[in-house]
Amino acid sequence: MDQPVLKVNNLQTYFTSDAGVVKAVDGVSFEVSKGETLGIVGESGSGKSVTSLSIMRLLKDTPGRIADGEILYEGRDLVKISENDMRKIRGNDIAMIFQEPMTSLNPVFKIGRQLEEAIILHLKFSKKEARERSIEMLTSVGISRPEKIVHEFPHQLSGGMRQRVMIAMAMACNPKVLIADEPTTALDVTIQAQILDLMRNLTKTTDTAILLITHDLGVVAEMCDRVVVMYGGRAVEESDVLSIFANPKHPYTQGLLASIPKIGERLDRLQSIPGNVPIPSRMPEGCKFAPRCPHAMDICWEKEPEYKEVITNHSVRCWLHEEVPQDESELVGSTQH
Amino acid sequence: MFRFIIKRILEIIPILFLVSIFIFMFVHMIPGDPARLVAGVDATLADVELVREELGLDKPIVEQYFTYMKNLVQGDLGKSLKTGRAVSEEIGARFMPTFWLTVWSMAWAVIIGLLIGVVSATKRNKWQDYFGMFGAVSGLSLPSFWLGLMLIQLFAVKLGWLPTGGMETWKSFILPAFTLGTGVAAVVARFTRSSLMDVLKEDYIRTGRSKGLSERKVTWGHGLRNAMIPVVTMTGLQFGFLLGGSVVIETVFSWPGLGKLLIDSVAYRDYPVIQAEMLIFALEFIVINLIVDLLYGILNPQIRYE
Repeated sequence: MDQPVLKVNNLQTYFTSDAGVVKAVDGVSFEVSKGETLGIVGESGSGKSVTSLSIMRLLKDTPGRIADGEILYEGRDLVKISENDMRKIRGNDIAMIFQEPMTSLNPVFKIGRQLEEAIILHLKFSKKEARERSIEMLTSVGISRPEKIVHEFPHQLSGGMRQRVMIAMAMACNPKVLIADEPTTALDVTIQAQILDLMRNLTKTTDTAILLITHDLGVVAEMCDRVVVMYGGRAVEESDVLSIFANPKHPYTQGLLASIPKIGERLDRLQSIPGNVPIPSRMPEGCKFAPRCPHAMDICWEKEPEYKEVITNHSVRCWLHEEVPQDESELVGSTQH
Repeated sequence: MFRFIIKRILEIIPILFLVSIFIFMFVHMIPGDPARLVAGVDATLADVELVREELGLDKPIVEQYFTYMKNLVQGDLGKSLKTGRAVSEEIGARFMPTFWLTVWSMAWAVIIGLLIGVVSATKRNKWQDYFGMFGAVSGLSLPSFWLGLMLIQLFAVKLGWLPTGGMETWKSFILPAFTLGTGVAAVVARFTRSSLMDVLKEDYIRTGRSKGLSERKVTWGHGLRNAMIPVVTMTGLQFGFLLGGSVVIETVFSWPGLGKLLIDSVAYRDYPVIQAEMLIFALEFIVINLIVDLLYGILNPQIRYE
C-alpha cells in the first residue's frame, strides 16, 4: 500500500466551556492514502465534524483546541506548524467542502471571484489565468455555461449547483486530500447521487484522497474504501468497507447496520439502537457505548477498552474482542440488559 | 435600475406636498406675532395691523397656504421677514457651511467608527474590545453641547490652538466636526461590531478560511462587505440627523450654517425662512434615503430594483 498522505494519530480535541473541559474528540487515529476514500461514520455528536475541523485547524471560532495527538500530512505535523504555514496548506494541499451549500458561499461576491481567490492565492495565477482555470473547473463539475455562471451570484444557483461550485472551488488547486463533511446531506436524493458520482470521478482522475464524513451508511457503501466508525469522540472500529458491512465487530457498528431497513423485509418498527449519544460533559467512565450496548459486561463499565487491530486491517475498541482476564464462559454470562 | 431612480424621484413630489402642509400648519401654530416683531416694539397698534396686511398675515390660513404654494411652485420661497432678502438667498449662503461640516463630521466618524467596530468584533472580549466599546458608550452618552463647550474651553481658551467658533480656516472645522461626529462614530462602531460578529459566524467565512485566506482578508474582504449592509442604512439615517441636528453644534460654535439660521428665524418668527428650512430638511432626508437604497443594491446583490 502507498505511503499515507494523511495520518491522524491519537487526536484529542477539547472544548473549554464554563462547565469545564469537554473532550469532543478523544483519541482518534486513522490514515488515508493517495486515491483512497476513507469514510468517517457516526451519529451527530460523535465528534466526526470536529475531527475534520481539527485537521484543517479551523477551530478558531469555536472554544475548541487540539490538546494532543498528531496530524501528519506528508510527514509534517499540522498540529505544530505555524498559522502561516497552515494557511498555505488549507485550500491548496487539503481542501474542504461543507454540509450547507446554501450558506457556504459568500452571498455578495460573484461565483468567479470566489473560485479565483484560492487559485490566485496558492497557484499564483494571474487574474486572467485564474478565470480560465475557474471556467475549466466549473466545466469539470458538470456546470453548463460556466462562462456565464462566473458572473452570477450564489443566490441565482440551486443547492446542487452550489455544491458543485464548492467542489470546483475545493478541487481548483489540485489538493492531495479532500475533506467532505456531509457533502450530500442537505441535498435531494437524486442530486446526492450526482454529487457523489462527481466526487468519485473527479478524485479518480487526480488521485486525491477523500475523507468523507457522513452518517449515511448508504453513502459509505457507495463511496468508501475504508471506514472509521466513531462514537463518543473515539474511533471504535476501522476496516475496509466490505469487512465492516459483512463482519462488524463493534456492537455499535452492528447496531448501526441493523438499523438500515432492508428491501423485501417486513418489520412493524425500524430497528434502532436504544438510548442516545452521551452528552460529552457526562461521558460514562468505561466504554462510552456501554450504557447502550446489548453485550455490556462489568469490565465495560469500569475500564475503557484499547483500540486494537484484532485481525489484519480490522481494528476495534471493544472488550468483546480483547483478551479479557476472565473466563470465556463468564463473559457471556455477564451480559447485561 | 434607471426606472427605479425615476420612480423614486417622482415619489418625492407628493411627499414634499404633504410635508409642506404640515410645516405650514406647525409654523403658524408657533405662539408669537411676526407682525409685531417686524413693526418693532414702539409701533402703534395701527402700524402693526398695517404690517400684518402688508405681509398677508391677516388673510385666512388656507388662503395664505395657497399663496405660499403658488409662489413655491414657481420657485419663489418668499422673502425673509427679518432681513427682507429672498429666502433662497438666505438659505443658499448658509447651505454650504452646514453641508461641509456634515460631510467632514461624517467622514471621520464613519472611518473611525468602522475601525473601532472591526477591531472590537475581531478582538471580542479582549482589552481592545473593552477599550473600543468604552469609547463608544462614552461618545453616545456625552451631550454634544457639553462636549463642544469643554473642547472650546480646552483647545481654544486654555491652549489657544484652535478658534472658538466661526468659519475662517480649516482649523475652524476641527472642533465642530469632532463634536458633531462623536455620536455617529459611536453608533457606527457599535453597529459594525455587532453586525460583523454575526457575519463572522457564517458558513461562508469558514469557507474563506478553508481556502487558506488570511484572517485579515476574511474579515475585511468577506466579513465587512456583508456586515456593511445594515451599517449603511443606519449611517444614512445618521447623515440626515446630522444635517438637521447640527442646530445645537452650530449655535455652540457660532457656525454660519442652516442650523443657526433656523434658531434665529424661529426666535424672530420668520415664517418663510422656517418653512423653507424645514422643507429642505425633509428633502435631504428623502434624497439620503434614496442614496441609501441605491447603495444597498450595490452591497447586496440579492436586491433587485423593480
